[in-house]
Amino acid sequence: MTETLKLTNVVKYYQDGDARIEVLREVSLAVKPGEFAAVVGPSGAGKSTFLSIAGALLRPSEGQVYLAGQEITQLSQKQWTKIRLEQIGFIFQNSELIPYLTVMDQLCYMSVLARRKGQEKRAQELLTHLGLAKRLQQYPAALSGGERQRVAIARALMNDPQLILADEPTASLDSKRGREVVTMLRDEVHANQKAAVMVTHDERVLDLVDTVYQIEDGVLKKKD
Amino acid sequence: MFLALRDLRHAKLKFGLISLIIFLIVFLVLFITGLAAGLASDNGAAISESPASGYVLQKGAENRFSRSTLTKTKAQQLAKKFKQATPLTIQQGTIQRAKDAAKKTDMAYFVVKQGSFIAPKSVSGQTLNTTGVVVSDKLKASGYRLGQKFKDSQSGVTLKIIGFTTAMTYSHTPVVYVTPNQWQKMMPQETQTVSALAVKQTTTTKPKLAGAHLVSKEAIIQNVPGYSAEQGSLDMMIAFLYIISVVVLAVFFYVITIQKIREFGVLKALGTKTSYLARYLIGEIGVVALLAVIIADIVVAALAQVMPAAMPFIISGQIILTTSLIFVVVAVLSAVVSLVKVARVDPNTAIGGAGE
Ligand SMILES: Nc1ncnc2c1ncn2[C@@H]1O[C@H](COP(=O)(O)OP(=O)(O)OP(=O)(O)O)[C@@H](O)[C@H]1O
Ligand SMILES: [Mg+2]
Repeated sequence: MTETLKLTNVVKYYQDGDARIEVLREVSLAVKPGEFAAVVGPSGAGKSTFLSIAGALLRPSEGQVYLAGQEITQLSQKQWTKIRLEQIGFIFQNSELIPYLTVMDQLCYMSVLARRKGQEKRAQELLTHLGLAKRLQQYPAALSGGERQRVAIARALMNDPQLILADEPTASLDSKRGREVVTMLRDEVHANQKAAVMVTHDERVLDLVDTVYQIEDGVLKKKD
Repeated sequence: MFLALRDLRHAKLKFGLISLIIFLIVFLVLFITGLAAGLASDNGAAISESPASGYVLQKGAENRFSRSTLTKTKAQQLAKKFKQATPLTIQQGTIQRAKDAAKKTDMAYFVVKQGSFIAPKSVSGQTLNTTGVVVSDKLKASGYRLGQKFKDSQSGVTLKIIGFTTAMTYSHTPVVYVTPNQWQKMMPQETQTVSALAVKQTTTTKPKLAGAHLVSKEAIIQNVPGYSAEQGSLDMMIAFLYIISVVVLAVFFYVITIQKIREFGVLKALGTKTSYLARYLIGEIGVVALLAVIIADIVVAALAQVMPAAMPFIISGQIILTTSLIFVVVAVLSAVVSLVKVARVDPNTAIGGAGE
């Protein structure tokens, strides 16, 4: 079975005058469909950089990135945009919902971008499934932090991507809400055979994931 | 337009205020344009609407009738060089009615031969003949009526209104057309001269004229007392209004764009193309500008109907349409700076909670 996400010997450095700042050193990892992986590590270890490279947002200095068997490392920005739209679902820290779109429209926007018609029913089902049936016509400002993050999960799932990337999805939530959100994410991954990588500071949710990676000073290691 | 329409609906107040400002600017531009056209017509309609294509003036008259004198013999000689030419004398004066001697009205005499091609077309009453004078419609506002008699203030000669022509004016005063016969009675000392020769020319070749030169209608209008200064300042105002609106709108849209930079980063990370965002921004600006312009057009069109006669205001549907079009284009152009900013947004800013 091909891995949904595969990184081989990925290196990322920034040139600062003569000095070379290495942010990621020889990072390799593979995530299979139905696998929920977490990446933990101290601040400045390179977690966000790793996620950006996995998400077709940042080009690595060396190494390769594969998405469902296709190498995407050297594709153009335009192709990356298409890949992000159709194959990757992002969940950002602070949810990053669009303030002037209702909960329903947050999801519908994704299908409008992907030029898929008649997706209102799917949006409604997803939101109902995530316990937001009563919030469909509300704007993000009227939602609680946990509800917003659940909308963000629904939005990430809207275009049925193979890969879900979550950037500290629990950072702005209390521990109970945080657990709820991660549980929902896990259930989606397992039920629909998605691959997911979650970057987190929150050690308390690690029991919910399948694999844990530790990153320190740009070196990624699997934790048992 | 998915995003544009929803953003407009959500931030009604913000976009309403921007619309209001565009409305005010467009309204002001249209209003000044109307006034400029109104004043221009008020200033020189008797020249601009005359069938004469040019005028032969004395050399050194600097395109002004008031500085030109030609002897009648000279005028006759010059007239032979043109297919159609007829003498014309213009003189500003004052008139009053017998009943209302205290109320004088400034006007301009146009001395024209009855039956000549520059003789006025009467809208009501008779055409110009020796029994009386044909006057500008504008005199009606001062209470002058058909068949009435009035007195030339300077000479005391009494003249009878036998016809009204359209709102002919010269240097903002109504025109009274008189025949050379009547003029002789009023100005016995000036029987041997005229101001100029009105000509109708079809060829472009300029005949050689000794001691005189041919001046185009346009040059005459430019030199009607007060015309250039008036139109110049109004044109300047309009030009500045355009510049102001470009700058104001550009700043507005730029500020709105800056506020949304983070959001644009997220939208791009989610898979939105820059071209889509550009269309979203232009769509938003286009709708706001279009709305404002349409309202301004309606208000100006309505205003044109109710403006008092004392405030000349002329605006054509075509000018309203062109101005509106220019404004929508200007509004969209003002978004260009913002578009550059949007194009530069890095989708990667959405990751890692950057920008906080
Ligand atoms: N554009 C850049 N130029 C130079 N150095 C950079 C750049 N981007 C990131 N870095 C450096 O790379 C390192 C890793 O950054 P990254 O944001 O990936 O860390 P992180 O693990 O996500 O930290 P945090 O938990 O605080 O979010 C940091 O030391 C940062 O200073
Ligand atoms: Mg980070």
